[in-house]
Amino acid sequence: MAVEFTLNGEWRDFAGDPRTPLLDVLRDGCRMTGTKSVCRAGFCGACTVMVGGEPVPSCQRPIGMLEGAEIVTIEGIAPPEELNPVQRAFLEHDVVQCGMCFPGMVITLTDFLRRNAAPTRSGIKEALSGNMCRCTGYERIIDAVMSIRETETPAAEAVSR
Amino acid sequence: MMTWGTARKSGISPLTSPETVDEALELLAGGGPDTRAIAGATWIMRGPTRGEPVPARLVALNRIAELRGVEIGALSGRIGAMESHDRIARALPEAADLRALAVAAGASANPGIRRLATLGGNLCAVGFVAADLIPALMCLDARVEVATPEGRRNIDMTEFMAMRRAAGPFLVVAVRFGRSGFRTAHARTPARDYPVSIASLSMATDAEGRIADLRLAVGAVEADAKRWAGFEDRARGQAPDPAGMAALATEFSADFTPVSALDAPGWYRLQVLPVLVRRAFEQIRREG
Repeated sequence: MAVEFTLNGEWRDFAGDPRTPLLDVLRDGCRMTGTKSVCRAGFCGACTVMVGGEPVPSCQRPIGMLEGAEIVTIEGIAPPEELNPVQRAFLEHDVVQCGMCFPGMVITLTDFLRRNAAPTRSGIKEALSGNMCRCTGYERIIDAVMSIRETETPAAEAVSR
Repeated sequence: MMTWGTARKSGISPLTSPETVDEALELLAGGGPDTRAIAGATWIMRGPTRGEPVPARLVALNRIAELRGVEIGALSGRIGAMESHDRIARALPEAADLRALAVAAGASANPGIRRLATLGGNLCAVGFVAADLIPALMCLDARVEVATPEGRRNIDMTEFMAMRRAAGPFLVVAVRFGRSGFRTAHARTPARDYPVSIASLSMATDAEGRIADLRLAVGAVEADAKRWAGFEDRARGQAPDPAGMAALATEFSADFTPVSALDAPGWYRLQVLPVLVRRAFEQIRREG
């Protein structure tokens, strides 16, 4: 029996093995390759997506547990051809290095800013404690997040798309 | 790469989502030896990175309403097995007797895993040495409600740790604990991510400020967390001086046979334990 869910606002279904990790459904089945496959153990955060409004590692979610779930990936975090404030700040501060960790970081930080309108550096570090940057570019990432003005905090509707 | 167990019976879905405890037990009993229950699924889904295939059949517990709920009253508390670490940390009230459990739930793993990993999974993942909630629940003298095909039982944590390796299907429904005037602390290293040593402490003092009652549970050192009975017996009646308690921990450290793994050798887990005991007593002294 197929599992039905919404992906970036569109209905999708998956008729394969329900034990398949959401990560593989996204990358192999839906061609949403912005979600990165790295540690596959929930340690690195590169595969983080929004499930039901919360950022979680997609490698740890069997698709069979996600019947009816709302899933948002990096491809759907902002309207087409637009960037959300986190993505814009990352570009403006030139923080992108190899790029493997960034989709997960954008998802995590977009949710974090939605819940924390006036973030501190230590709060950002805590929020990112499950997102590893192999290039170790953390300080510029935090600088970029701190530069986002309160008025630019990602809107709840953008996160839950 | 993901590796998979092989389904033994055709026509049975590799993942089913029952809506009652009885239905889940039936599926576990009838599914064959390669059938496992999943709660947050974080231990099972990362199995392939340990060389363990994902089991042939999974019984997902996320649709069973009875396994939900965090209810904390003035005299007692109940936490459903399907509650996540994140939800437990956010739902617990600020209270000295619950501080160890709140820290255990809020500091474990990383934020994404905390949103998925559950109380029941933490209790049942045999082989997962770094479980934070188990020593914290031992300090609360918690009892575990276990459902089996034969019926339900409420057992203490020590009995549960022995029975969780037993053959035969069972589910954890909830944990229950009494509220107390004990002060609690949960010290672990490292401060984030997965701990390699844990000291979880609850303590009551008498009118002279000496230790009247004490529970000290140690996690991530041996394969299973356990109460440190030798330490507890010796510490009762003494002043809760952090340095003195650390010295006592060093004296009794031969009570453990530590495990070695990639994240830390056994000697290290044991060597940092007195430091964690000292920090736990310092936290209690500092936070009152």
